[in-house]
Amino acid sequence: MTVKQTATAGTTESSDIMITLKPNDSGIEVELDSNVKKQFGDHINALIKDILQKLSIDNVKVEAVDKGALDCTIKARTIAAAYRLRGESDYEWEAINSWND
Amino acid sequence: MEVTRLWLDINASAKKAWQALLTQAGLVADEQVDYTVGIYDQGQLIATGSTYQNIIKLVAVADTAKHNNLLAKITGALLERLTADRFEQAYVYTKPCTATYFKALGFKAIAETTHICLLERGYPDIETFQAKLKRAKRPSQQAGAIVMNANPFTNGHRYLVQQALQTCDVLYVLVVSEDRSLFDTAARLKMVQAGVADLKNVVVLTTDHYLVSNATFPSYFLKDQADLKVAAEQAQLDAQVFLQRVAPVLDLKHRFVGSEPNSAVTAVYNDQMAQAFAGHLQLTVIDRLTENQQPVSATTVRQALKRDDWETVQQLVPTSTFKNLRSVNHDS
Repeated sequence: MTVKQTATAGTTESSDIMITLKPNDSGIEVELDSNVKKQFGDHINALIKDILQKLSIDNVKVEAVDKGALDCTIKARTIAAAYRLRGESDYEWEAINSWND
Repeated sequence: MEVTRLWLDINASAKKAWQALLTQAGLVADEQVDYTVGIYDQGQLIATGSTYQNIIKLVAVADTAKHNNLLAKITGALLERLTADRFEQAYVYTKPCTATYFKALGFKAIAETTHICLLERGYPDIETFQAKLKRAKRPSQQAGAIVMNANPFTNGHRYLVQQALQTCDVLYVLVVSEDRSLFDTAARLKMVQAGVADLKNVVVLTTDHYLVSNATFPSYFLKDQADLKVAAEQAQLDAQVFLQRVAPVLDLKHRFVGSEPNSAVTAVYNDQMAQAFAGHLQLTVIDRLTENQQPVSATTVRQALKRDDWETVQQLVPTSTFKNLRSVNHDS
């Protein structure tokens, strides 16, 4: 499997979020564009970072274009983008589901 | 409302509706497109968008259908297509007044003129390019730059470099990295590197997709067919990218170009640069090196190559290029 340099998941339709992952030298850096950034910006950033850390992705730049997505959508899009970045398609559902406990 | 593909080549009625919609939006229905999509509402075409290579263009939404966020649908469909074609970057050319809509869809502006705004999304992006320039940067007082296609590298190019070095302590030679020329990027880069290897204080770099590229200046590669007015707009954009994105990173004080007696498009380009740089950067036009009263140009060399006239070629290019051309020719 080839590891790509960049991966995207999601759209810019209403209630969705488009997550794009790019290489970064150190750490997770989130660049968020959202109409509700003022209200939920910190929460969305923390959520995306948390998911990526759980997937052991440590060095990545995240571009998030949010159109009012719910947490479940943000999670799903972030997970999908991360798997695409690694070129994997066998989702570890058990591990992912356990995050909800 | 579904996004459907418009087959402009075979569906005359769709093409007519498409042209009408674009005209209504104040766009010229330019037929240089690879892929076109549209959205219909009760048999009426209400939104459209196209791609040409990795450039998104001719995006329009009917006045009656505004506020339905159809732009997101159209752009989404086009981006999907580009991803399927394995393009990792997408560019959008649009009017500055509509740039904000594309910014809301995750695009970032590279540069803007009074009439056009160029945006991109994907990776590597302009920041990657700027980081690359920063790594190659050398301490300087009077740094200068030359952008050249070097198709192929001639005595004229070398003369330009030598002349520029009389004013500059560091000279950056940016080789156009768009594969639309007789010699591919790797070959041109090699010829330039070999051609200036003995000169101190010269740094050879590539322009990636940001200078004189399909995205910034497509007319450059269609010198024979280009509409000069369109070329002037594109040239202005290209000059702005250089001024806003490249010059500050390399701490440039000068830009050098060769005078252009033969190509109208290049002449327009030099003219637009002079306008854009006024007060910011010193633009110096260096008269071309002449050989037997003829300006030395890559065009002349290419014509000679076509005729298999190696004697003329040898007169016009440095030994390094000549060896290179000979070996390439030998292979084929």
